[in-house]
Amino acid sequence: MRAIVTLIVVVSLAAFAARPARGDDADNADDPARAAFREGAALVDQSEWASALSAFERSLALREHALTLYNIGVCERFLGRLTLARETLRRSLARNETASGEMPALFVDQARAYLAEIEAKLAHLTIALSPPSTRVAIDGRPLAAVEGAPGVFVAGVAEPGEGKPVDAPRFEVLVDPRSTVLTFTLEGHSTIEIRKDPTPGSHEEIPISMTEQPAQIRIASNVKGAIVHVDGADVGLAPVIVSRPPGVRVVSVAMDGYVPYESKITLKPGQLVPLDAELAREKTPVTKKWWFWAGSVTALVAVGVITYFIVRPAPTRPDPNPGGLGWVADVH
Amino acid sequence: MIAGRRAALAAAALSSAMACSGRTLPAEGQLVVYIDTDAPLDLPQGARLGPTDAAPLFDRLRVDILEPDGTPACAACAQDFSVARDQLARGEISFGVRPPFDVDGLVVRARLFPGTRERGGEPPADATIDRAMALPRIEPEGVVEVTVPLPIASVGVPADLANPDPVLAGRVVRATLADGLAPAPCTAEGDDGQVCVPGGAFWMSDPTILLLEPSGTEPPARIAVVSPFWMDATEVTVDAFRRSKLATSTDPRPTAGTRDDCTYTPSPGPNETLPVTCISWKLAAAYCALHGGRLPTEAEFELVAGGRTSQRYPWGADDPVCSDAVYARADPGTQKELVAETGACAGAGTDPAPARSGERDAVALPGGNLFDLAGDVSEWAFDVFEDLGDACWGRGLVRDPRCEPPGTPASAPRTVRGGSWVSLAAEMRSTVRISVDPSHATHALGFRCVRSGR
Repeated sequence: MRAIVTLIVVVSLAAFAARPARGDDADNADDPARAAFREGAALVDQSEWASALSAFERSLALREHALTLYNIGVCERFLGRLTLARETLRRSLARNETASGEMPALFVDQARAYLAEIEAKLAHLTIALSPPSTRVAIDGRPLAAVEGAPGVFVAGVAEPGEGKPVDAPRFEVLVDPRSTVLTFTLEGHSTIEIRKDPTPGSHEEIPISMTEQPAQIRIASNVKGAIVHVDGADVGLAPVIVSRPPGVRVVSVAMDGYVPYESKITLKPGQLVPLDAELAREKTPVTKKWWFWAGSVTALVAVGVITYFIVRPAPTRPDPNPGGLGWVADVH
Repeated sequence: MIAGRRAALAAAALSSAMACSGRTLPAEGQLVVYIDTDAPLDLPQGARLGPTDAAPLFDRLRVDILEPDGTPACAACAQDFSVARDQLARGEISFGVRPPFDVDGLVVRARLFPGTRERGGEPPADATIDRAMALPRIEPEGVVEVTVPLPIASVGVPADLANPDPVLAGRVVRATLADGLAPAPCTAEGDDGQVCVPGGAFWMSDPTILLLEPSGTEPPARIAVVSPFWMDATEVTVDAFRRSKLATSTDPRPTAGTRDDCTYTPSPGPNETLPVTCISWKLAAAYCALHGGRLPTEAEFELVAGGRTSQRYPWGADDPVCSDAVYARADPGTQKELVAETGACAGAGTDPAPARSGERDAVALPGGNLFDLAGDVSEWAFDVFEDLGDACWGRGLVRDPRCEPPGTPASAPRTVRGGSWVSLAAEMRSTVRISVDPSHATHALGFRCVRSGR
């Protein structure tokens, strides 16, 4: 079958080319770096790529060599860690330029071929971020800037840790073509976490806009059952806790026989503000005077009659019908 | 004092009663626009797809209110919604529009599409039911109900913004599925060992799970509506094929007795329950014809291999492990050119396996199960292999698609579907298809038969 034969041939070439550079001859058997290198090569022969990677990394930690870096990059490629493989193969070529002769031309050519293949397979996510100071992490790692490419970052190569600000309203990220989780955090805002499953070579736009967390006001009063209003809306009897968007809010607390209480407060995102309303009793009411009632009856009757004939209440209409989807397109 | 207070309260009540006798006016003029469609929408939240439910094909609705020249009528005149079939049944896919009273010619554009195919914030043109309709002028008072129908037959056809039809007057929500979209029982009889596949509609060649065509491009979106049909529960075995007496001395190519070889034996032997392999397309088709059927079309195969809902594998989206299906069993000892991936499951055995060997490689249907659609052996399909963008496949909504253009020569390549015991996991995806010479017979290629269900 054509597709399978093609795949086999390609993989065979890769396997052949991925055969580890054997390095110099093995007459230095007690050299731990060389021993680890040979161990890695033997594991590649058995297709134990993860174990081979571990052996090559031990060798690299003892002695840096362009061929060791090349082998690590090949292992990472086989394990599907394309962004890491890209980084490592670039390092191997860079080292070979400064320490010339470490890597034969065959492997230099193969490393370049792998890099071209990886570049074609990496997925590109273009993120429009608001605000730009948002911290960004992909699969639990911050992004790393791509040298010589402003506004372009790569995922999966930095050490695991918290997200870091990118400080750009729009930027591109190179990611492996597999399931990946993007996390956006900003103090005082709700965290956004999204999962993507990009295909090889794909380009996708992701708009991200961070929303402020609401603040809370805890309103209590020395008078039980006092009525609480926030921005003119009745929210119940004190004590009560309400949530509101950040900004300036007017809180009023009232009870018959007490002087009304009002306060203007400024709320910040995620803040909890306690408010204790001390209500003071009103002074001896005038309603105790006999002449008050006599005059009030007369005045109220007159006002009621005049009001009816002069001030007719505004008629009301029902609210616009938003349908089952709860939306009204207001073209006015 | 007390009497005076009571008199004042009574007077106040009288004043309030006189002052507070308000009037309620009719509603301000507006439209309520209802959406009707015969397309299968998403299931309600938490609901599971039943055996008689149509597979969901659309779950997002975008509405734009436009001026006659196609520009947005206001800054907030575009909105996206998630929509489900229970909302449609209750007539709840509706919204309000408040146009100016003296303006004519506003247009409502409604686009129904699958959310997974949205690209760059825009509905995919080839997978969208797109309709633009002119809104009527309204009076200053009163609510006017109108309906925008979105027929599934027009999927992939862009709306005519320059010449919109008028909306339907009134609330006209039928919420009735188009013909053939829901599963239906077989009415004709099947052969022994066959299971009725109730048919239905699905997104064929979903680009999110397709390995790219040789041209490197995504195929156009396509809804395939498949009529009910009977399908062999398993791939045709060596024993069954021998009993047909169709074998020649070279087709199927008999086993040479070595590993990773053909399975057919002219006389009964140890391979009786294995799928017959190394068989040409022509002979496979002849076997099916002998039993009153034919090879399955690509659409029929993909419907079942995707679990009726365009899944990546018959069991779902997760990649398999070795026990799930018969795959990646190439023998590293004889296949020196292979590397670990194609022999990753060789520990479970090499060569094809008897039917039903894969623990999850099965599709449950009301009448029984179908086995080994993802692995064991790949299978001949009826269709001539053409690029999925070719005209023989059609566009938009296609019923019982099959590709065999007139004048096709006998030597034209045919399609092979499904993975096999030498495949990698990705090659078992429900949409994978390859082109094979019809006379080419390999040790990983077999077949099964279908018969019309009507």
